[in-house]
Amino acid sequence: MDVVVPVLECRNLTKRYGTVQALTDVDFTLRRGEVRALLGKNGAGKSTLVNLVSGAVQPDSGTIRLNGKDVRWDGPGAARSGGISVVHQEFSLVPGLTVAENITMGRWSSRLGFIDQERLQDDARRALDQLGEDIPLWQLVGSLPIAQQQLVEIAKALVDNPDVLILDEPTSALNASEVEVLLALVRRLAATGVSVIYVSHRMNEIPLVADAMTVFRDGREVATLGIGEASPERVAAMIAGEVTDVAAAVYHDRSDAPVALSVRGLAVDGVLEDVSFDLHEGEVLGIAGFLGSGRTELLEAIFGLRHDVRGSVWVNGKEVRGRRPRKMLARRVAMTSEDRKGAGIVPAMGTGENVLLTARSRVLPKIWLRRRAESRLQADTIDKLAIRTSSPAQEVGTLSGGNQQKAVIGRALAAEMRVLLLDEPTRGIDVHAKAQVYALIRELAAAGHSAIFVSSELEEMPLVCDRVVVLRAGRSREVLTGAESNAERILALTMKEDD
Amino acid sequence: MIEMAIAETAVEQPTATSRVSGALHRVRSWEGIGLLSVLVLLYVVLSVRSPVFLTTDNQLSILQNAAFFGIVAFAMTLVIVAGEIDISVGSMAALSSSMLGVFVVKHGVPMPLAVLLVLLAAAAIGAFAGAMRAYFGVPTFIATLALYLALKGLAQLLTNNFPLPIDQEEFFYWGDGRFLGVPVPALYLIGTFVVLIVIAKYTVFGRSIYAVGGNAKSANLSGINVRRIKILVMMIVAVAAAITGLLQTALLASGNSTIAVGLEFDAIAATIIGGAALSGGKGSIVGTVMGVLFIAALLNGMVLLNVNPYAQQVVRGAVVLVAVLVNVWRTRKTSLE
Repeated sequence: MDVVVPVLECRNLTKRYGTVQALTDVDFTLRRGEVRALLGKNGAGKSTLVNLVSGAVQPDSGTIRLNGKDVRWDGPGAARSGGISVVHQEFSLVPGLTVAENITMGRWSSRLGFIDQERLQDDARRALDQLGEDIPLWQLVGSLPIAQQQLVEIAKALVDNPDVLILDEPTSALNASEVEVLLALVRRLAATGVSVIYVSHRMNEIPLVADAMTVFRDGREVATLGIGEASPERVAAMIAGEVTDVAAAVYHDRSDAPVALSVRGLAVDGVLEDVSFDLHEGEVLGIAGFLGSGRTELLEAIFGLRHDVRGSVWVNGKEVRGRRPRKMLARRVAMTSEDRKGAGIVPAMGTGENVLLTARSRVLPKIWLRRRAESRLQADTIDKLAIRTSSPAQEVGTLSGGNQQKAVIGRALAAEMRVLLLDEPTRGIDVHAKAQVYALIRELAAAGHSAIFVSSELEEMPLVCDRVVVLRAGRSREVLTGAESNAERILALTMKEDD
Repeated sequence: MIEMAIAETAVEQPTATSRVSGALHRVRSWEGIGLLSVLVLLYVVLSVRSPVFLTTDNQLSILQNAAFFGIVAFAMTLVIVAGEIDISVGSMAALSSSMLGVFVVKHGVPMPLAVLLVLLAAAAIGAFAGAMRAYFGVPTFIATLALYLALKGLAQLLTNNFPLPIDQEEFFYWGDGRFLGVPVPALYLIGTFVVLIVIAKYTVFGRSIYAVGGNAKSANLSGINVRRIKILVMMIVAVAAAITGLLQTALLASGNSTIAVGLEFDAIAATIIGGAALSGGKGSIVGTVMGVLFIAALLNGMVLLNVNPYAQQVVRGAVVLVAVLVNVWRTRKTSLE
């Protein structure tokens, strides 16, 4: 390859959000037609780099050069027309518009006020051709399967002929065969000269698609390596860094303790086939499985948020039929959602009041608020969980993610719940807050509470759980105990082929 | 001011000085302070421009007129905080007036029983709208738009669109009488205010309304009966509309299907001016009180100053728009901090 100007060249990029140093002095260079994987834990700096390069946020200092020219985007629109397109993890498609309309959204040309359908179809066709995909242009996007929607999303990013295409976790919603199709497609795109930044958690995809990888940790670049330069173990170690700050949980055998919650033959059409396990008092049970393996659906099925569930759930030896959240709460089983903002906190309410939502008319009086009892319980809970808030009246939406999560867990504790179903309680919170959440869950277990802990970060499992149930193809498979439940072993089991 | 006193949730015993500085801080950070200033300004301007405005008689008549949309505005605040809306309140008021006329005049039902029947019917209709929302997912805007038309039509069907004169002296008292010099409707306004503010601030139900409007999914996971909350707020606003209809019936001394046109506008406007967000979760009865007084004083002042009636409409529309702009601007400012 001749000596050419790199397509993208970042120097000394630095970004702070409040007190959080999101990115420190990062250099990043990308050649034409290169596929570069970005690796790192949540909060390691991958998304910040993506946001800076794609104009969503401005760097505090440092420069970005595209094709040898300094650029400073004042928004994602400018970056897009300048040659950098992003496909975000969340879809940005409008279900009620056609494939062609979605692909060309934002650049619909018109003649005398009428949309120039021909031009629109041409543009969309061109983008799909570049992908080598054939999806009917007139079809409504809402009626397409997820994998095809993902392709439309990518086509939409290609319509501006980008020099750099950023794919943020493009495979997180796809199954194995769909992933293969997507990886092949990324290679094809790279061959046409598009440079690709590929953000992914899935280690096994990287060698199949990327030329090189850059590992981030704590807002800094740890290393940039060619594929094959480092063993998966070394890469994993680079991603994880030193993990001495969180002591591994001491495994407690609770199999003699009474069963707090048991699940028998739980099934949800298309997601879960046959899931059974027992949760003992004082035990933390991890549920491991790939995204889409039905972890969230399992918790929802137990808690009565779904109506398409077969199988049975028993609490303290009694079957609970016709499950609804309020019925489960009456049996002192609480659930926290993975969607902390959307289904966890009530952002505009005070932290103290958020903590009391379940306690009211349960451990607190039914009709009238008792101010003294309320403020005592608020203060106790905030104190016990070390929630950092200026006062109980501070709106919970203004707290950090970790403190919001503690408030959501605190809501269950204030209401004296005994069994906690925790769906991704550490998602999107910083490392320090994570350690606090682990410690909190362990303390609760020591006090006799039981918990089901769902997390997509496998390395958390041995830190928190006494046992781990592996979920695969809709069934509960292996049960790992204590020291067996290390991240590599769980990973291997979640990916195992059964047939 | 009640709001601030209640907002205090201090755990430790505050000293006298810290209490004073705390109170000052709360006054400054209190959301309603802007609206209160505007309300005071309006009063100053109108008192200067019209010698009649600040007289006791005129102030009492403002309060009486305020009752005819304020009672509904208070209830509407709960509905809007819950993330819902009711645009059928005007028709509900007209229907309750017509029903009362038909019961009393055509069927000779004793007045207390007739009133009770009307309120029960209103509660049932409110529950229906709430159930459409809670169980069938019909947005309350649509459900109450349907009711807006249907109830109005029903009122006209019942009465053939003719007023039914109600010839009862003591009934007339409820609409235009005075108790200790205060117009009776104004007493209803104050009574409703007290009841609803107590509900909103001191009951599990009231706080649950805020939780449901702020984040319904979270409220559901927390074990709050979201459906029941939605149905109850729709019942409360329907009953408030019926009470308004009955007060107007008493004032006019006839069951009438043409009353309360535009009631939904004034009630929703007062709520929005008072700082409630249509997206739910935010709003206060105290804010709405000021919104109600602002609209009532403004209408009264414009009449005193002989403002062209058509121009009055333009002013009312502009006021609502400005109030919303101010709210949006303030939320944006605080969210940036």
